[in-house]
Amino acid sequence: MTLARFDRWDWIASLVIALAVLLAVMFTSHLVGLVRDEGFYMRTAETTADYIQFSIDSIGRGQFTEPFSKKTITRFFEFNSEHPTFVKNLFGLSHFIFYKKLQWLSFVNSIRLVAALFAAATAFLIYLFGRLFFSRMTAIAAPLFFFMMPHIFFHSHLACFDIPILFFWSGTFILFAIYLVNRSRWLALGIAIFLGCAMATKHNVYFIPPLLLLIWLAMHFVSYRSLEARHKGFLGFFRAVPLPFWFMPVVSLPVFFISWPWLWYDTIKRFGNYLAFHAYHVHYTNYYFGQELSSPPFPFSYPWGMTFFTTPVPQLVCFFAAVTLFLYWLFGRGRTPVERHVGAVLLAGALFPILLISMPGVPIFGGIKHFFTGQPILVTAGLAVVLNGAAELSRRWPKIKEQTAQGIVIAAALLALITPNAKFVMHGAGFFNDLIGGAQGAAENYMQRNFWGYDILPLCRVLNAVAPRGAKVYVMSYFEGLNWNSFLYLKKEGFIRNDIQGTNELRDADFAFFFYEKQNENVLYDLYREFGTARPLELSETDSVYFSALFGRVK
Amino acid sequence: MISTRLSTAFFILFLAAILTTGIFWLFLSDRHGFTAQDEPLIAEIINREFRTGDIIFPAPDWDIGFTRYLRDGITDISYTLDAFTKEELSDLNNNGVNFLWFVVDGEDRWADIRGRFGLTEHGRFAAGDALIVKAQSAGDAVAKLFDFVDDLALAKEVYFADANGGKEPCVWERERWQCGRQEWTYVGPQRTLMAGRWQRANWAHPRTERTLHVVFENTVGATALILGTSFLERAYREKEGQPVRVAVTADGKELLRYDNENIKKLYRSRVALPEGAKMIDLSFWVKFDGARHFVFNGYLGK
Repeated sequence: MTLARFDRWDWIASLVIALAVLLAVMFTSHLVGLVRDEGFYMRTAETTADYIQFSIDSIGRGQFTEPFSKKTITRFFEFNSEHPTFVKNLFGLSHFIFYKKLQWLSFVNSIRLVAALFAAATAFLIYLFGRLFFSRMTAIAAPLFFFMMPHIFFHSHLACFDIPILFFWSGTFILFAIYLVNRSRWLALGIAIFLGCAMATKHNVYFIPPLLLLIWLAMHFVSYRSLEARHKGFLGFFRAVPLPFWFMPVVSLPVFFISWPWLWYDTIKRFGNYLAFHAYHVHYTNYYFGQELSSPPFPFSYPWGMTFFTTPVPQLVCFFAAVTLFLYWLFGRGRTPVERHVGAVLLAGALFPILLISMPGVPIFGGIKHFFTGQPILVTAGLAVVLNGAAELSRRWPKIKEQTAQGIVIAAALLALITPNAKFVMHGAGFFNDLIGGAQGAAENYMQRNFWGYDILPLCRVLNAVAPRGAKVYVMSYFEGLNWNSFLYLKKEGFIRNDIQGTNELRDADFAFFFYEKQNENVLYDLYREFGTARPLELSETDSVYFSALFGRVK
Repeated sequence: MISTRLSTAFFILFLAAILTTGIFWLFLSDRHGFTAQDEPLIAEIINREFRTGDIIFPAPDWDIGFTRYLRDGITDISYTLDAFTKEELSDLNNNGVNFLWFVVDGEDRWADIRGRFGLTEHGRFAAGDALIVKAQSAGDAVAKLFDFVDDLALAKEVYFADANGGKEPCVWERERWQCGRQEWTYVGPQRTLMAGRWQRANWAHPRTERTLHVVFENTVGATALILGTSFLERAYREKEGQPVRVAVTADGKELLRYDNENIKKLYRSRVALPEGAKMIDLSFWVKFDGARHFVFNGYLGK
């Protein structure tokens, strides 16, 4: 197995694509409402920006240790201490620079910029993977193809951890696969630093080192007879251990620790609390083929079924093609040990996130964002297989040049994907593919189509137009509706008029948002009765399926 | 790369996927539900024909565009038809409801619903491609005489009792029995989901180690009692939530006792009343009241 050269043209093409993704995300940010988690992370961005200002002021006064004291760290990092701070630090830094200091971006966009940058970095990563392992055509097409998955494009907007951890998860496996081929020491060090940042983003990646180690052990002993002499025997075993594994404890862990000031004091207790929070995470209700999944055990099929029905069909074909390719690399006749190892690593990177969520006790409430982290690998490798098929056909039919055939196919695919992406740009988390019948088929089968109050912007426009001054709107916070912080930030951003007040008591409300989730239909009935009407002032719909509604009191 | 045959196969599959994706999202993704033209027509018919006590079942339940044109006051709309069994729908119909209205997107769907629930048609109205059907369930052996929800104001007495026999009476105000200063301590009607089914039911959140008594006088000469109890979703989502002990007595004689477990379930009971039974006491007790969002409904009948 050899890697292609990444030349000057590749740098230009990959950076142009990354920039295009960044701009596409930022220019559509105003179409995507604030999800529940953003309410928390935007608040942490504010406190982190305050911390940066505090640190600058302290250092300016000559109080160099003040920013690092226990009192300061507790003051600025206690909120949301159940999550590491690497990405939140970036949220805060971006907010500090682009909103507080330069005022180049709005409040929301200054924080969401970080997510968009991670989306751009993911586009670059996909290009890199496609170019080194497959072809330039794959490298160019795969990032476009990847971001034309409505769930991916939707999540790329959000000031959350989901796209950053997708980048880090896939990135670690891809970089490790590259390392297996080129054995670069600098890359080994880079992987360890990368993993440290990944650990400081979200706990998903804790599974990576043991997983990679297990794969390496299996490969080592399976191909023992063909190993070089210096890698045999007891000492040889240690010599054969890939360099990134040696770096991980000594580099990744310090990177993780340094990036998270909260752990600098009471380390064991605070780290224990962090692990306990995720080990005993609460469950939130999710609907899957009419089943109300509110507590374990959850069906094994859930993440597989959701992946199958929430991925646009062309990309789904790529997923299957990629898995076939990795299996071929792993088990195919005449493959080299390196090819087998790379096949196993990429297969694990692509499918382990789904397999993990299949375990009956693992929380599933976040939907596919919790297990889409391996999809860059699947899309890229799968597209390479498909383009190889196009090349094979053009070789049999020489009138069409190979690259022309591939270009036509890619253009046709992107064209076909415009409509679903346009329809779901506001409801990306509610996208279901044509195999289940789209939005209507999913609704007919009682699949989860809404998640915690993000689908609000069309309602805000009507509310602003009709609400009298000082009106109160019910935001449904207690029932997986709009996060209270998100409501405040919607006002701050100008999406909701500043004089409109929020409430979580229907009795006090003049208006009410309703965010559809099957288990919360009782809120709708309470609302009908309390307001004396079932007539919405506005409905937010796609393909006649409603996601959320605004009501006004008539009695 | 993999074999030529396999990559060619994936390429052909990919081409098919492009084609189906393009066609589906351009022409087929919005082919069900109610058209924008039909929605005002549907609402016009309902606005004219709907009477208090009726219930509307839209099918499909995900397209509620027609509600934009409904007149104020029409609020009994259920989006939970699929959750009902034939028996439960019949019970709902008997539970103070005059007619069931089905707003369907075609004849096929109506035929399926009618067959599943054994409904009797009382009228039909066309609204473009949509169909509005006025129907009733096949009926129930017990004819309703006194409804625990509609006639809640007529309860003889509502109170919390402690273990020592102390009584804290509830007072009727704002269309409910208010039982204390806290917002949730009341007995009052609402439209809600009992194990996923739209119901009219009385909120009756119990209190720690106290018994909530709701006493009805049998002035209608009823000989049977139907009782439905259930936790709401917010309650059974709490893993360690305590069950509610439900008991029914007639003139002090116990007729029914069970534990309403902390699960998604509609407990439905039918009991015969002793001849000449006067005072019917429904009582609800809980060990610990954290998030015990609890409701009941039912009726006295013959």
